[in-house]
Amino acid sequence: MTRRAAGRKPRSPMSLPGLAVLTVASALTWALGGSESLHGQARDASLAIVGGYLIDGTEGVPIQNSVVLVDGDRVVHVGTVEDTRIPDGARVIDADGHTVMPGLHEAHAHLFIVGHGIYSDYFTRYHYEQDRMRELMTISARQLLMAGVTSARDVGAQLDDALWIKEEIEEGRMVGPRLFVSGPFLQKTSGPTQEFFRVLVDGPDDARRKARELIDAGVDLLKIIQLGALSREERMAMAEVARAAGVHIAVHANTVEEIRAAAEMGVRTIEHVGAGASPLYPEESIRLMRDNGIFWVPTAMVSRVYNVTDDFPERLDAPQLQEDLAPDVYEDVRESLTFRSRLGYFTGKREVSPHYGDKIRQAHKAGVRLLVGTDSGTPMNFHYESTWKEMDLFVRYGLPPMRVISMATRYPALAYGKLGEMGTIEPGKLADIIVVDGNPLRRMSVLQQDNVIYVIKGGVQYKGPDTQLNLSDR
Amino acid sequence: MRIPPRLRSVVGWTGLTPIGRGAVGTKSSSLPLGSVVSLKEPSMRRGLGAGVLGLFFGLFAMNAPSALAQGGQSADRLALVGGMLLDGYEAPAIHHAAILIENGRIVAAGPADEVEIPENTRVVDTSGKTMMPGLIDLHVHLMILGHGEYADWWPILENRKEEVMEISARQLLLAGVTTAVDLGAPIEIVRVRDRINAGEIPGARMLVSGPWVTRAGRGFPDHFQRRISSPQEAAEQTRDLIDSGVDLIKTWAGMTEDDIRAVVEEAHKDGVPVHSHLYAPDDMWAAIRAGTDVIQHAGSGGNPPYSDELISEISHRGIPVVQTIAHRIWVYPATVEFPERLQDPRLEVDFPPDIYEEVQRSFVGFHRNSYFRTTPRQIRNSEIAARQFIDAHARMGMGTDSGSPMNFHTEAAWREISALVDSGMSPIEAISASTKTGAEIVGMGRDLGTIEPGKIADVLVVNGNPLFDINTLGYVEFVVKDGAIYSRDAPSSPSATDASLGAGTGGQAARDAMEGRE
Repeated sequence: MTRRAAGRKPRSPMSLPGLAVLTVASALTWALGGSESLHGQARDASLAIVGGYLIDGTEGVPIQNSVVLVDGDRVVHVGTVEDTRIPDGARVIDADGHTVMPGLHEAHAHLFIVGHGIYSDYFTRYHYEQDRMRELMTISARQLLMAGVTSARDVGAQLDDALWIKEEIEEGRMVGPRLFVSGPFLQKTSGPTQEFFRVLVDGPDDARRKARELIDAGVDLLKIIQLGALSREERMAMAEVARAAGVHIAVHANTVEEIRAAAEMGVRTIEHVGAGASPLYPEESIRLMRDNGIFWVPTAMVSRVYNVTDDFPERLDAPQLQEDLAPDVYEDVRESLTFRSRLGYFTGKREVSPHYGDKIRQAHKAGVRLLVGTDSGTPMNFHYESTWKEMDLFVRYGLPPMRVISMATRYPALAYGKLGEMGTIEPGKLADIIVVDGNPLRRMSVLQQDNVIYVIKGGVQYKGPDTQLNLSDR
Repeated sequence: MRIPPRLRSVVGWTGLTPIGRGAVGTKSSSLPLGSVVSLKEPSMRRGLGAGVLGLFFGLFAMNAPSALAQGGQSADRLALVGGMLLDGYEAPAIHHAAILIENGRIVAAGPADEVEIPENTRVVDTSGKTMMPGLIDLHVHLMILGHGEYADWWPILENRKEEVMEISARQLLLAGVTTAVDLGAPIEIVRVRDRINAGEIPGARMLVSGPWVTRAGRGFPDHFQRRISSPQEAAEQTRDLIDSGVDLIKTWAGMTEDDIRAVVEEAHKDGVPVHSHLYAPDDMWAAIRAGTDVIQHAGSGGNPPYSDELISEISHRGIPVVQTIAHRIWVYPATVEFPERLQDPRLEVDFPPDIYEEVQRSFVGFHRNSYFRTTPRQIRNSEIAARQFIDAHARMGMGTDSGSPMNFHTEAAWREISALVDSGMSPIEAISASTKTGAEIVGMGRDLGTIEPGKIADVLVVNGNPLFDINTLGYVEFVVKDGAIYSRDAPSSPSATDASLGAGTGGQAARDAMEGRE
């Protein structure tokens, strides 16, 4: 394919915060060297992703032979090889034959767990006895990013650990997705071995104070569970604190009453599939989610992992998993999953999982917006493959592939009020981009990790040929 | 030794190495011998140009004489251990299985803890993967590479026939097709077949028709076909082809019932089977009456649905049907949706630069190419016809017409299997059709098509569970043919692979089998 200089006027003028990053020097360089009229096109770029099939996240028709120009951490131009001049000095990524799309978002991850089957053993060993939570979170974060997940919400971990890894990643000292973290769950009661990531509230004043402490510490959202056990006053106290601080709320809500309570609190997301063993949600639950603009994160993977592992237990031997985890952790995880049918975690889930597809179709059809989130880290649900498998599952349930991609890109940005910054590949936004072998619109499984050839987050290449990442410099 | 050490234990743990798994390779020096593993550079797996780090870097690293000496291994046994085994039958998978190969033949296959692996066996860890018989593609064309316009391709092919056919055969093998039937090529293909089967060049084991026999002959150069105008001539040409060394005869368009009967009678004198290119119902009836052995295409053209009577007759008599549906129902729409597939980096690696350029040129405005003139209607009819044969439980093998426009040897087989599943086969049925049934259709069921003791060691190892997602057949980890390992991301001359693994015989077992096939 030929790449020629712009002979035609670019299709749309750029307006852009991205241009702000242009230095005077580079602008001068361009002015001296350039003779063509290029108004509207970026004059400088550190990176050019050239020739791919661009699914930009807006649900527009994909752009063939696309060019995405990145400067610094931002996208500065999106065009085609016909209408875009590749600025001198830009590093070129050849995306011929591949799909270019926004980095995926994982809306429901738990970095501090890695697929182990028995929580009490796991936390006792790695938190209480060995103090290895940060090591494990580091591995999870890297697994996610290498799978093309450039941003993720961690909805439940010890506060210090969650804030620590978020900062390490933000400061470029560690490899992982951009994180939105909740820290611990806010809830009414808790069993043993899990108290270190659960904050129990008792009364509205206590709820208000504890919510504020988390927010002051720096969490991006509050994760509130056991809505039915909390009093209305407790729930609303936390909601008010969150609203005032501008952080969103994620909740567990199964029943109509809990969903009604969630709506009253103004929560942004409801996690997991609810309505128990009912084949469908009550109409009112659906209506409440839709009419209150609540995004639903079904985490359908939690059911899928059980059946797919029975059919193909070899998945637990995946070389990927063995390479990622420390040998003793891998052995321990593998051991914990030997007698899968006895695991308490799957009690009840197996019985209701046949309804997941119906409920997901029901909600989608009714206009509820879904997010791709997987509960990754839970038993047999591994960070390195969870996100695309949830997307694949949605497509198997009959949702349109393009919309499913939105659920992992644009919708989460919308849900968190970050659409101006991320979620699509558009000038001015953060350059969170993946290059994938194959067409996910025809076959979502092309998003599996080995097929994610390049991962770019904030303009920095973290995966792909010639990746040169110097963490200490960043 | 029964269950091999898990992969992690031999590649070492990357621990908190901040980026990727690229660092793993540096630990290869501590590989215990006897545990061969793939050292992957994940970002480059799919072959972004020539700078591909070998998927089987580890294998080739171990080919170093010093490594062999150090391990003290006798290099004639290979074991694939740990993956799920689909043996080619429509039977439940065997989990955590092992396949033991000796001198190019399978000597044991089953659960890993039931397969005794002798000392001095080279063990390849297939943990987390699926092992299955190599695919058998019953309809390929080595002479074409997916070029978009036949009329432009023939002059290019004219002086480069064997070069092109070798490229195709190698692409097929690396895509997991260990045996293929070529149904239409210049007679030079006999030499290419012999060189492959002698182990001189890498490629799928070939059974070839050479030029087809036809009354029509339009659109193709004369060296692809033997034109006839009477049954007498049909018989003569058949005799001449058999004397030239073909394995089977293909009848193409325009043949009368008497023509085909004459071909069949002549061919069967030597036990040579006849495959017939058929679309129209009357032609199908005629060919069935004339006694053709395999019905090719049937239903992938522009015909409306076949009558129940015809379908029933074919199914009842167990006449093999090879539909080649994906090149109708998949290739064109998939390319319209995702034209980037035409720029698959593997093509650029596989083709000489001038051919790559020319092939790419032929794709400009591909929807206007003559080959696709009637495709939309063919698609609609093919979808129906495919279901007709599947619903009637006809005896179906897998064939792709690979090499036809935009239907690349690199992926045609698994796309076809995927299309069969889309059309109503269960994944296990489609896999069995593409292995066991395929071998039976070409009369090599005793030696090929399943993984069981005594059979030729043709094994496909893919990443994932094809029973859950049939498309995982596209994720080929490596291919074993005649006991030797081939992989796209490693040099694949048979000498290199045979030497590195030792369990191959340069195709001797296959040659013996083909001599004696029923």
